[in-house]
Formats: sequence, structure tokens, C-alpha cells
Amino acid sequence: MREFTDSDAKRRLMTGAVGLMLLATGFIVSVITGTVDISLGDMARIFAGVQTDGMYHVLMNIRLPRIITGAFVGVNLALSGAILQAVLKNPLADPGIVGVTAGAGLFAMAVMILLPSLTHLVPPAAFIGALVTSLVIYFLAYEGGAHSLRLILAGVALAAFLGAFMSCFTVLYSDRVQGTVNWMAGSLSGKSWIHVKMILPYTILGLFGAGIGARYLNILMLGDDVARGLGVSVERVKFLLTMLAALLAASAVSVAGLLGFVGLIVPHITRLIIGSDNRFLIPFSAVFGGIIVIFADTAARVVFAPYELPVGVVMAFVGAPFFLYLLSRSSRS
Amino acid sequence: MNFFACENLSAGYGRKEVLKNITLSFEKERITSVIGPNGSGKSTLLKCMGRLLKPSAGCVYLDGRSISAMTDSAIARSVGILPQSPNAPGDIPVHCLVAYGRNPHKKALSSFTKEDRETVEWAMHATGLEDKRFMRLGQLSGGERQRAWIAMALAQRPQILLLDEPTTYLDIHHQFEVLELLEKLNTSCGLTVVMVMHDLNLASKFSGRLIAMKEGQVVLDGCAKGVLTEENIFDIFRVKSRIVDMDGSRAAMYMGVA
Repeated sequence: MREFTDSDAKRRLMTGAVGLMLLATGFIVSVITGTVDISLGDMARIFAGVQTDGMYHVLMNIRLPRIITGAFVGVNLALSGAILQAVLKNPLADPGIVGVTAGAGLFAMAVMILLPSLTHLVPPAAFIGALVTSLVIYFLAYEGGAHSLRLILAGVALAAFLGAFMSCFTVLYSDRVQGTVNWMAGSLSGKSWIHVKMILPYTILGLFGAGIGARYLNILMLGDDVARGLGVSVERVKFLLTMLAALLAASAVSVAGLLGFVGLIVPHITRLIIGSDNRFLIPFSAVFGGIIVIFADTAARVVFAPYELPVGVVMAFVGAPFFLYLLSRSSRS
Repeated sequence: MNFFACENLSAGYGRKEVLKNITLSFEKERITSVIGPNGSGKSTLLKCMGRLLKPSAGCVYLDGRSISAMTDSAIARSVGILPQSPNAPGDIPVHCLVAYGRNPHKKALSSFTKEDRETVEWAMHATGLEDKRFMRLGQLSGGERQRAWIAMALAQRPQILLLDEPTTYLDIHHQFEVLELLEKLNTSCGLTVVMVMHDLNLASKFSGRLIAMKEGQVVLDGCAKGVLTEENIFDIFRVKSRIVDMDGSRAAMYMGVA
């Protein structure tokens, strides 16, 4: 039995091919452009290991880790969003909904403002803040089961609550706020191999977890009652998947700051292109998440050079109109 | 043989008790309809029997075992349940939806076997959806969509199928289509069906047994001829009616509430 129609399969194949091409293009463009332009020839020689001058240092120790970190951040945020949109059956769900943004933001801000000498603690603090907040929201929303609307409302309420603390910080320590701006908008500036190592385990875990979870996400989208009727232990599966999403987003924001938007938009764009089957949506979202962050970060470095924009700003500038365009096109067809 | 039963079942939402101490048993290979006014506890009963709702007291037994002691997937291999008007993304192809029915027979990482494929084929054949396998759910008519959901439940290979108002929102043609399908599955595959129905005439035409509920209790239980009488309809629904017997089936003509 053929499992899918030819047009479905062709579309996925095409999308996959275009995705991989974009990924490769984005990677190369990002490697060669910047304050110092590196030629394609230099790039090839450096990767082959025959050129080891200053260019080598720029490429291998500054640009490459930044690109890879960015790609993993994009992958993790997109996976997180795709998982949450399916678990909560809500297309507006993103990592912010389970408190990741607010929790990470508050903890990171607290470190940056109250302990300015200990900025190396920002990533672990953000990570812990994100996870603790998402757990608190989950248990606040739990009543015989985690209903998606309760979860969303609890998330919004807790985000507002934590936001109030952040506002207090900005008012009381207005002299120190400047240093937090970049982090709050999401930035990949100065990312090194340490950050790659920090995020990589979560990317691997996320890809595996979401890969296994895809089948359950498909069934959860049929509604809790149908899913339970099909033998899925709904509450356990939901909890595990929500926590996987929180972990993925926490690892991303702990490295890159509050990079919004990717988790909301990328799964959406992917769904508009290849449909809602999570077995395909999950891997494609991961690839597109990586692509989008790589391109956005390249633009962030280059457009106003020598000044650098936070990558989150570029993402919102370009991503939002593109998303609206896709939305209007899909509603017409 | 009674293979499915509930004993002293009580259940509710929050403090409100909707089901009060219900004991029922179901024989194999029969079609049973549960009727009753809104809020009488029909759906709640069905949800408890399909373990979508945990009873506050009492037990549901499958082949003599309490289902609260069974795993979710073990129950799903014997009991199929479809809630009222289930919802799914409109772009799911029919064969994918039906394939989800194989879930209780799969472990987390196991792949789709030949047996799974054959069962999905069988379920689509039984519901007359072979030609629509690549159609998306959103492209189907209401009746076809309901048949697709039934096909999904059939792919579970359940012994008993619980349906909550399987004909809601369908026109009369599609209502018959769905009910005749259930009748066919009942006679050809020995599928036991318990469904909640609003339409008394359709319920009596298609089910060998009618269970009438009122205020969380079973008030009548028997064959269509015994349950569907003018007095009973007035007692349960507060509606005056005339009973018409024609060609071996019984129907009620409603005269009004005054």
C-alpha cells in the first residue's frame, strides 16, 4: 500500500531539498560575510586546514561557533514551539506560554543587575528560571488533568506577575538596565564553542524526544478523549512533552537570550507548507528554525555594520511580514 | 454472556453528582442505545464505561477484570470510544486517521507491520472508504467523516464500541448511513455497540435494547417495544406522543409538551 499520495510526497521532498539548500547557502553566506569578508577560496582553504592565519581565527573561533550556536538555538526554539502547539492544540502557543520567557528573563535580569560581576552565571540562571517557571505553571494549571486553556491562562498570569518584578528592576536600577537590553532582545553576539557545547546536548535530546513524540502529538491533536480512547496515557504524555518543550526553550534562551518569535512562527510557516502531520512537521520545523536564525543573525551582523542589531530584532522585522504574507496567501487558496 | 458491565457506578463533575449508583451489564454482539433528556447522565455513563472519566464510586468490568487495574492501551485494544463530534486537523488524509487506530497495538518505537496495514485496509473497506483513502478529513461530507472516525475505532479491533451521539449534525440520509454501517458491523463482525442517541425512533429501529436514563439513574431497560410507549415517553421527556407500529418497527409521533 502506498502510504501517501504522490503530490504529498513530492511536496515534502521539494521542501526538504529547498530546506537543505537554504541551510547550506545560509551557512556559507554567514561564514564569508561580516566585518572582515572572507572569500570562498579562503573558506575552502581554512576548512581544508591549509590556511591558518588571522582569517582562520576569525572563521573558526568567532564566526563558526556563532553560526552553529544560532542554528541550534533556532532548532530548539522551533521544536519547542511545534511541540507546544500540538500539545496545547493552540496555534498561538510558543515557549513564552509555558513561562520560559518570563522565568528566564527575570532570573537572568536579576543576575545581570544585582550581581553584575557574575555575568557568567546568566545562562544557568536563565535555564533554571525557565524550567522552574514552567513547572510552576504546569502544576498551577493542573486539576485532574492539564487542560490547555488553563495552562495558557496560568502562563499569561504568571508571565504578568514575573514581568512586574522585571519592571521593578528597570525602575530601581535604571542605571544598569543598559547592559541587559541586548540579552532581552536575544543576541548571538560573542558566542563561542562553549555555547555550542552548552546547547548541543539539548538539541540532540530534543530531536530524539520530538521524533519519538511525533506519533503521540498527532494523536493528541485529535483531542484528549479520542487520544485516551486510543490508549494514550494522555496526562503522562502531555507532561513529558511539555517539559521537553520547556527544556528545549530554556536551553535556547539561556544561551541566546529572549529570542522570541522563532518558536511561534517557524512551526506555523512549516505547517502552511507541508501540513500538520507531526512526523514531518517536527523535523522540517527543526531545519527551518536553524535556517531562519542563521539568516537573521547574518543580517543582524551586516546590515548596520559596524553596529550589530540583536538577532531577535531582525527576526521580528523580517519574519512578521513574511508570516503575514504566508497567512494571507493560505487563506485565499 | 455478559462481558462488559458496570457495578454501582457513580460519577460527577466537581461536587455535582451526575451518575447515581448504576449497575448494568452488556451482552456480546448486541446494539444498545442509551436515551434520556439532556443532563440525564447518558454521556457521563458512556465516558465512565470508556474510562474517559474516573467514577467517584463503583467499577467497570471487562471480561471480569476491573478496567481501573488495566493499562490504557490494554483497554483500548478491547474498548473503542468515540466522543460526540470529535475534531481533528482538516488536512489529515483518511488513511492516516484510520492508522491512528493501531496505536494501542504499538510500542513507542515499533513500526507499522503488515498486520497493521491489513487491519487499516479492512477498516476502510468495512466502512466503504477505500476510494477516499487519500481524501483529507476536511474534504469529506459529514457522514463520510463520521465513517472515517468509526474506521479509526475499528482499526483498534475492539470487541465493544462506545459512541456518543454518532449521528449529531448529520442529515437524515447520513444518519441512516452511519447507523446501517453499525448494524452491518454488528451482524458481520459481531461488534458490540453501545451508543447514546437522541432520536428515539432511530434508536428503537437500530438497537435491540434501549436503556432510558433520567436524573442520573436508569429508569427503563428493555427491548424497543417495551421502552417506547406513550406513557414512558411522557414520564421521561414530558412530551405527549402517539406510537405507530408499522412493518415491524415502532415509531413515536410527538404531539407537544402542553
